[in-house]
Amino acid sequence: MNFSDIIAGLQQALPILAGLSGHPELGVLGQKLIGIAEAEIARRQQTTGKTRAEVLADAAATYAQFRAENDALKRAGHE
Amino acid sequence: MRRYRSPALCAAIVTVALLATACPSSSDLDRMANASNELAHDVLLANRVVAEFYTAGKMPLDAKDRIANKLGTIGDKGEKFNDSLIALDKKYPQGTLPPQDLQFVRDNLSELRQLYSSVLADLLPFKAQKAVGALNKDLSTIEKVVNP
Repeated sequence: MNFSDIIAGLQQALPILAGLSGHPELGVLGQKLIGIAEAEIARRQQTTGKTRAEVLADAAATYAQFRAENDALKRAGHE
Repeated sequence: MRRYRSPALCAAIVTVALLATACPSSSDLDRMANASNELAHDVLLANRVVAEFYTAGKMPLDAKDRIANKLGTIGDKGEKFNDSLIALDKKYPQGTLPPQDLQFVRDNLSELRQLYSSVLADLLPFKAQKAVGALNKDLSTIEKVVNP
C-alpha cells in the first residue's frame, strides 16, 4: 500500500484529512499523522457493544495515558 | 508564514477526533458516558498530534507550551467529569438522572467546551480557521448530548 492508497482510504472515513493529499512535503510527519488517524479509526470500530461501565472505564484509562503523555509534552524543550 | 501551514493540518487532525461524538444510546447516562469517552480520546489525540508537530520542528516552543498547558487543564477537568459520571452510574444504575444531576453534568460539559474554545483561539494564528470551524461544530454536537 502506497501513500496515495492510505490517503484514499482515510478520505473515505475521515474527509477532513483530504487536505493532507495536497501536502506531500509533510513526508515523515505526514506518515506519523496518518498512523495516528488510522489508530483512531481502529479504536472507533471497536467501541460498539460496550457497557456504560466499560465505556467510563475506558475513558478513565485514557485520561491516565493522557496525563503521562501531556507531562512529557510539557517537559519537551525544557530539559 | 509557510512554516505555519503544517500546524493548520494539526488542527485538522485534532478535529478528526471530534467528528463522531456520542453514539445513540438508551439513557442520559449512556450518552454522557460516550461523550466523556470521546472527549478523553480527543484530548489524548490532540496531545499526540501537537507532540508530533513540535518534534518535527513545525511548531514553536512557546506555542507548544501554551497548547500543552491548556490540554492539561482540559484533561484534568475532563477526568473529574468522568469520575463524576462513574459515581452517577453507581448511584443511578438505570441511567436516568434527576434534573439537578443533569444540570451538574451540563455545567461541567459547558466548562469543557469553553476550554476547548480557548485551545481553538491558540490555533487560529496557525491559519486553522477551517478546522476550527469544524471543531466548533463538533463541540456543538457534544453539547446536544446533554442539551437535547
